Amino acid sequence: MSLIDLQQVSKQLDQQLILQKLTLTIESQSELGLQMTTHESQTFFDLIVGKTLPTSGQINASTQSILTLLATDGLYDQLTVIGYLKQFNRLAGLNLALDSLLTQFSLADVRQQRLKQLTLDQKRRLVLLRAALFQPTLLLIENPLANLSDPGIDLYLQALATVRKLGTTVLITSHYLEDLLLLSTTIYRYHVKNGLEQTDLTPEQTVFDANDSNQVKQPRSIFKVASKLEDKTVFFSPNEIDFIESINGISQLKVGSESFPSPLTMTALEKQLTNFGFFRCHRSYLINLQQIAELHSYSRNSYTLILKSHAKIPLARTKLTDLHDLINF
Amino acid sequence: MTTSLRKIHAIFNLKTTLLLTNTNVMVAPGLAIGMVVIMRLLFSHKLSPNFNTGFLMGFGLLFNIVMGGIMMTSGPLAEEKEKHTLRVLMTSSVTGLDYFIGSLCPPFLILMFTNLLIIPLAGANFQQVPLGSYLVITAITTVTSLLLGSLVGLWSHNQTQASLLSLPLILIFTMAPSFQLLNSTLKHVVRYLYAGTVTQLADGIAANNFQWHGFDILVLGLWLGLSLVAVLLAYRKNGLDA
Repeated sequence: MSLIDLQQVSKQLDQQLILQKLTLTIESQSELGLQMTTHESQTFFDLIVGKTLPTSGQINASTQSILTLLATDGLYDQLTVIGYLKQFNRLAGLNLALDSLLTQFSLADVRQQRLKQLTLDQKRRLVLLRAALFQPTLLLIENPLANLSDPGIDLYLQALATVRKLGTTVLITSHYLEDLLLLSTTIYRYHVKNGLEQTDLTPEQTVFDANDSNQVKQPRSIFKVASKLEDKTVFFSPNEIDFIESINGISQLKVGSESFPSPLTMTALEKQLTNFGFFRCHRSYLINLQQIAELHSYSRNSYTLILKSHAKIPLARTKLTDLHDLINF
Repeated sequence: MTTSLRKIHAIFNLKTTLLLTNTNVMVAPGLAIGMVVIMRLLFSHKLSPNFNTGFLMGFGLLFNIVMGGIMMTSGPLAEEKEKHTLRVLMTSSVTGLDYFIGSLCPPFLILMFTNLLIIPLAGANFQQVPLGSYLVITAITTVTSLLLGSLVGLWSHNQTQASLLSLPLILIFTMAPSFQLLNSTLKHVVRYLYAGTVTQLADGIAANNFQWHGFDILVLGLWLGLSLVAVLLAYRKNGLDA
């Protein structure tokens, strides 16, 4: 069942186009993640809840039971955890059993603590629990993992699973793709020129021959990657390409600040470019190892590769060992 | 705009808890009581009993109603905006009317309780007080102050701004009636202020000759009506969390 349907939605604020070409359907029980900035995210939330109207396009909502959690939302510091939750439980009017929820949200041990004494990890889970008391049909959360510790991220993910089990559809926005990979199963990236582009997370069928793994990969000197545009075909040498990204199922060659579509799949490109120093660091990304500048670990579960062009590419946890073996760091 | 008793009750409980733990605003009724007690101890033997009771009651009521009323609504509303807790409430299916009613009731009850407490503290006894008139006048003036405080809260973005905007109002409405004896022009002006009605009530009780005057009813009604309209206009223009 579709909860919200956006068709070519644009929003202009103060002479600035914040959102455009937004076409998205939020299905019930879907686990959507949108990569966008804070300003874009807040504007998007305002549109969804009907606080502002779109400049153009259409939004159809089949539910009014929508809650939003912003990173800037405050708490009443002088109240205790249980006191705070009791107040909002009354406000929600559903009178849920707080004791079991406190356990499920890993907050049972701090129930009598004042909110000002809580850690950021605990505050984020408390905010999520407060939202769960209302059992909204749709919950929109902005940047929930920002600045959380590794154990805090794990506990937040458990709490989020509880919210989803209660029947709430959760849509999450974040700056960081690696956060969205932990929180969502379907991810879109927002770009002001192109609107929402789906990041391809589905695993492809491998086309390698069984013997390929045994073959010694010899470097080849001549190879070009083609990109077919409207009236021409552009050829790139592998060393010109920073990385290749799968968006909406299409492989996009990233050369400098520009993108060029390739007719080949990620797997085919991987097969051809491995000999030229390319590495499949994630299901959606193939990077030129010569372009790597830094490896960051934001949490135990997420790694990010920073390229010389300052692009940030997620590195799958399972690929860390392969990368380690390849470049001996 | 739909409203719900359950939500108003929930906001009332929340606001009562927050108010009672907020020393910044609870200082106002405490100061009113403290000032009356201290001044009575200092001046009771130097002035006539009637003057003493009237002055102390008027002084205490002005501090409580004007300072307490304005501070108890402007500060918390601005604090909720500053700390982004108001957005949380307003996105929890609470309407503006739910919020206003639930937020105004706790300070109203605290201030009315203090108004009654000031009667014996100022040296009057409950037999000499026309309790009905006392309650009506203090209730109307308290609500007027709460509305003026809400107006300040609606216009303010943070607590500092709310304090700055509240200060002139508090000074005018507490100082002018207190010093009206020193200047005849000031005394004339004070008759047009809702706070002036409070001092007239206190003086009338002390002299055992309090009577309702049509002009006072008009002043009270006008201030209450104007404050209400101003709050509604500010709410319609800016909303609660502008």
